[in-house]
Amino acid sequence: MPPQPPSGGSPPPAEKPAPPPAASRPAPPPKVDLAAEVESIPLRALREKFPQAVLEVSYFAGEVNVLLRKEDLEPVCRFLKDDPALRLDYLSNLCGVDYPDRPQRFEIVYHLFSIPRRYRINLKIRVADGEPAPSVTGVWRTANWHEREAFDLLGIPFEGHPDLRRILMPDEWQGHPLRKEYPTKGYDRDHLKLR
Amino acid sequence: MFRTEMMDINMGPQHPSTHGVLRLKLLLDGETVTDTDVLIGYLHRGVEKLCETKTYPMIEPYTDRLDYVAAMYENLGYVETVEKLMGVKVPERAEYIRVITAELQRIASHLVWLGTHALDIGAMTVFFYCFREREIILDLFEAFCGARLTYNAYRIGGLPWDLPPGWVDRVRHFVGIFPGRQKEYDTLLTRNRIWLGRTKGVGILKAEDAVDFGVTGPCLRAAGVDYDLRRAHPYSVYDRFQFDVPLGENFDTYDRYLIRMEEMRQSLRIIQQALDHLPGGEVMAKVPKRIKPPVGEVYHTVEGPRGELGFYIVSQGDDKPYRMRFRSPSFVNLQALPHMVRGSLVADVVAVIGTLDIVLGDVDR
Repeated sequence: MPPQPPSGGSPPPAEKPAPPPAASRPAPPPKVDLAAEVESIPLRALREKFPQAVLEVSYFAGEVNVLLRKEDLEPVCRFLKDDPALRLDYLSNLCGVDYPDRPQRFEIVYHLFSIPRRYRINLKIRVADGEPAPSVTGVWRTANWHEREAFDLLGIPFEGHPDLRRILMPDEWQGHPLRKEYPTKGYDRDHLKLR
Repeated sequence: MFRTEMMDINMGPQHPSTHGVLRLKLLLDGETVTDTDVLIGYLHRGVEKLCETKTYPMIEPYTDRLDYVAAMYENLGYVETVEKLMGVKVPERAEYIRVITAELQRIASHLVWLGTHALDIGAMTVFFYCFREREIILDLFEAFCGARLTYNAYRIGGLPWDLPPGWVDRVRHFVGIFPGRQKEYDTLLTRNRIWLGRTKGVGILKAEDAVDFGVTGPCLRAAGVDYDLRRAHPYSVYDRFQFDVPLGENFDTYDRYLIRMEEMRQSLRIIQQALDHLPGGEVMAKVPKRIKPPVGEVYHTVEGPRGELGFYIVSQGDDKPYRMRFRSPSFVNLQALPHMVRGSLVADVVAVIGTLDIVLGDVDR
């Protein structure tokens, strides 16, 4: 029986039920600070080379998210890809996120990895509705379909994309389904009726 | 005077060798493919949009329906991403069981690939052999989680239940018999002259192109790039196992065949080690009933049988994700198809679709 300093033995009946929950719920695991800052070599190089481009840096679960100025995106990507010390040669993912309440409503996220060096960094830019985002298809060919998908589902136009057309939705589709105001069931259910 | 004209040929969406509803528009010069337009989206179900309306535990069954040939990996990647978002530590036993089931799934998925790929090229026998062994794995999965295809086998924080009695011995039995069965496929294909003729030098994808196109998985390693997420960015408990990463030398369809065959042997090695060191204890961590991750965003990747499976979740502190993105390997790998078939014959297109090992549910989401 562990010693109980506050009250010796007078309230055991009342206290008895209390310890089991405390035992079955053993101290919540040590809280890890998910937003803790981590050291990032690509970020340091980026800050040295393009001090004006980095607008904001945030950390989450060991990942580094860098918000860039839209104009600097392509030169930054080229630098990260070609720099012999970084070699972030692999664009794993590119996607848009819709924040309708912000003046610049779309955030485009680029998840970069380096195959030879094992680095990773996430880049972001923000664009307003209808404002074209720079295309990175010239840097990585894999961006082609990802950008087409962001155009298709969110309606973000990409400047300099060689073949910007819908990819998942039918060509004649109206609207962009991943936008927050787009109802999950769609605007028009007529296409589900049997003709 | 004679003159020639280019011809547009439509292949799919209803075509047995497109593995689902893939449509290709081939521009042909005689029988040579000069350009390909890949048209996808026939199976688009808007899963990313649906996920924004579902709570975190409700999303897991949806992930099963993306890559239905390797649903364990979709489950694994998804629950690991949410765990990373919440900072949850999963009990060791659960991690080991996840590794065992996931590697079994890799073998099952490669068996489907081998069977259908060989069937497309004209070797029918292999298909029946592969599905015979896949059946054993599906029976194991059925005993483990009750389902044979769409498992919903893991939970955020661990596993819903422990292994059923006798399961470990059944897996050991499978690990014992499978190498002999794999030799049978070897004897049917590896030195088969027709197989060599249909796969050697077909669909060449070099390293720089593969990385540029974002191709991952066996197709990337067949291009000679040593990149396996289980080793490059180890997740779960993969850093504790010994295994080799096979690499290709000729970058062609035959190499990708050899690599997937070798990967099955390496998966067996991992399963063997995991079974030998399977720890006891709990299988579920303490997670709240109502899962509400903090505000933040994570991108987590796991090495699926087809390549890198990425999961991007943006959380606003709600019990539903604000944005859910599935980076599917089939979608990205398929993008390299026009490059790989340029200048080859129409019959080779069939071989290249097979070697890319796409699942249309994963491509279209």
